[in-house]
Amino acid sequence: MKTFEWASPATINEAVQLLKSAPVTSDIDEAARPMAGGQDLLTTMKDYSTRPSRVVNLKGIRGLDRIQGNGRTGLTIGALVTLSQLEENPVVRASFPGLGEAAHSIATPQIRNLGTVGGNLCQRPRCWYYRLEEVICLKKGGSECYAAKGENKYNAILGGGPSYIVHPSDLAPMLLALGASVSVVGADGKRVIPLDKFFTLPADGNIRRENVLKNDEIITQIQVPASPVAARSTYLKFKERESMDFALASVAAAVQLRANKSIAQARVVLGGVAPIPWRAPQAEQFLVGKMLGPDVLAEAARLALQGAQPLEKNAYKVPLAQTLVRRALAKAVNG
Amino acid sequence: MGRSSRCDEDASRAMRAPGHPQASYAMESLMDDLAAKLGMDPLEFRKKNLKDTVYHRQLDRGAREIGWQRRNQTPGAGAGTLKRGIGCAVGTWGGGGNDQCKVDVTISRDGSVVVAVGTQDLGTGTRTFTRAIVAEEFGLQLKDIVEKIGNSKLGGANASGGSTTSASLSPSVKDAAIKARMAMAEKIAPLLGNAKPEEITFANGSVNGGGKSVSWQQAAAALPAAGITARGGWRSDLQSSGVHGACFAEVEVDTETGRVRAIKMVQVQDVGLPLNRLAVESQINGGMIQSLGMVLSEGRVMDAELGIQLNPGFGDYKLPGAAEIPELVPLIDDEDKREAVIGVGEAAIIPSVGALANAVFNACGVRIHDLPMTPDKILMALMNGRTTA
Repeated sequence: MKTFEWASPATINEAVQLLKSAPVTSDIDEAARPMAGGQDLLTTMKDYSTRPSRVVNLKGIRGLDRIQGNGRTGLTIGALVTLSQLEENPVVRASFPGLGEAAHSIATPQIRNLGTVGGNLCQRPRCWYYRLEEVICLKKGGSECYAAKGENKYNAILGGGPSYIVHPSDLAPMLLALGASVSVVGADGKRVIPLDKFFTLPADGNIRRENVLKNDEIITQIQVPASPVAARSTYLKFKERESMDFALASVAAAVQLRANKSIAQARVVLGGVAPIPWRAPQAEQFLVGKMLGPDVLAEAARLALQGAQPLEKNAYKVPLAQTLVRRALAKAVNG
Repeated sequence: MGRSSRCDEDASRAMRAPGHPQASYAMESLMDDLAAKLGMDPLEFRKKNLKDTVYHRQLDRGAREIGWQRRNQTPGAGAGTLKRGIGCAVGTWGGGGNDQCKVDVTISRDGSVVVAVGTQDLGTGTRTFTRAIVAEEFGLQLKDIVEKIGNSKLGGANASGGSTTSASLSPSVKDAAIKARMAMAEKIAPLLGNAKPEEITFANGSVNGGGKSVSWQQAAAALPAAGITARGGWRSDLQSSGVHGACFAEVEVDTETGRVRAIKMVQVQDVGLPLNRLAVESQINGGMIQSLGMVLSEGRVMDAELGIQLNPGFGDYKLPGAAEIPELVPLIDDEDKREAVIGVGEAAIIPSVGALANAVFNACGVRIHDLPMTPDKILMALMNGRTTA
């Protein structure tokens, strides 16, 4: 780990100023970083994937560790709310069950006790080429995505190129399915960013980042609107090792049913298969008005993975994710 | 089998029965394939071809415990997404000891007993059996004995390797304890009506002879001021070598995700004289769990161009966690009547690798020739046909 300055502000504005006033560097991986639970940031620092000149501790800022609201009003989740808080919150479990399931699926109880909602959304890639100190890949300022032709069983089948990372967050697909947005405060003021505009594909955004946050911006809150699909939401994550793992593939599904049990609207978002949480609008549109059955599930699964372009070693992700789409939709509908 | 290939990677290191689980996996997969080709019960096939009848009784016992008759009669048969299967395999290991250990047992006038030798405890129970052997000899309890180990100033000991620690050390401990007992008996004979030393018995904290009985403390108080120290050495008659194991595994394969979930594992193992049943059972459990990792999740991933290992940490090198562990039934084969110590550490990992692999084959009809059998391999094999290269 490279030496760094440590700053522990008491307010959001102080934190933003501390991020902005940090020594200027041409290397984006040396920019000052905010730290909440530190469960991801510290590992990237130990791997030298990031080498921040200053670490700004957010844990001393009051008021960002609460979950407010309910199923009728929607939720406001402070960025410092821990994953444990989220999974155990009775309102979340009752009215936004998929969100509780997504939180519960993450890592281990120890990590969930420290890891935060804001930090989970801002995790860096798990790709082993990115994480290895001795490899300088495209994401770290190098010239090559080694996963493209290398050991790519964990990498992207959708939205890849020129980098083929998958986004590691489990909350992101579920929050996106629930129509959430994030409140962000930076040196230039406050802004609210819908999650579907927050994450960036490697081809579109800064290749060294996975979202639109500027170096001096901090997520302060996540808003989850009240929604007719929230009560029938579910998150299905497939881990290679059940005890503790990132997703080989996952599906966030949420549906609203009509009185006759046909689908009024559906949300389907895939995790673990693309550099961003991957929404499947064709599958969602197809499901409207349908009664769930084997053929409908199979077609929805096919549509959700349409356009998938597996690399040499991850073709299995297509049938795997299709299975998860079928199972997640069946669970969302049937409970 | 048995061919090495140059691969410009870091050399492999010795890990619990080096080469054995790997070879056993290959051999037992082939035996299973042969049985399937012949349409034979894999268990009967093994019994027909294994001359050593120890395997026969172990296979029969394991089969009863797992419910062998519940297996798929035809590998991969049956409807439904979740398919169960049962597999079996056997393993062998040498073990045994050699003449390297010098053990000192010291009895002081305050009744304390110290057993000292320069060995170490890898976590495999050396401290426990070192105490236990001495305690048994004196009719005392484990708590009454102090063991001093892990110091090269103490009596010489063997290095740990090849499952030889127990079999090398315990004869010397026993020898030292017997010599100390006899030396003590000679010294305290006057207390016991000048009974013959060899007729003095030590049991339940008391010392008996000549129609009299004194407590251990009273007996020890009669020793010379310096107490007694006896040195023990090698006794080949107290050790042996050669063990057998048979493992049965039941798994469930999710044919739509490629997930293999272990349901139950049963392993029968002979060990000669089990010095501590709990420790032996723990060794067998550990062998089954490490096999589970080897078969289902652990593997070194190298980048062919960069020449580096991509998963050097325990995030990506996936050891089984608590959620992966099935019901484990470790069974000591008590029909082994050898009154000799052998060592079971490495033996315990050998048969379970093949048993798990054969259970996967029995469940879904797919033979995976490349460990670990991660979901990607199973799923693609199920989609593409019956086997992987």
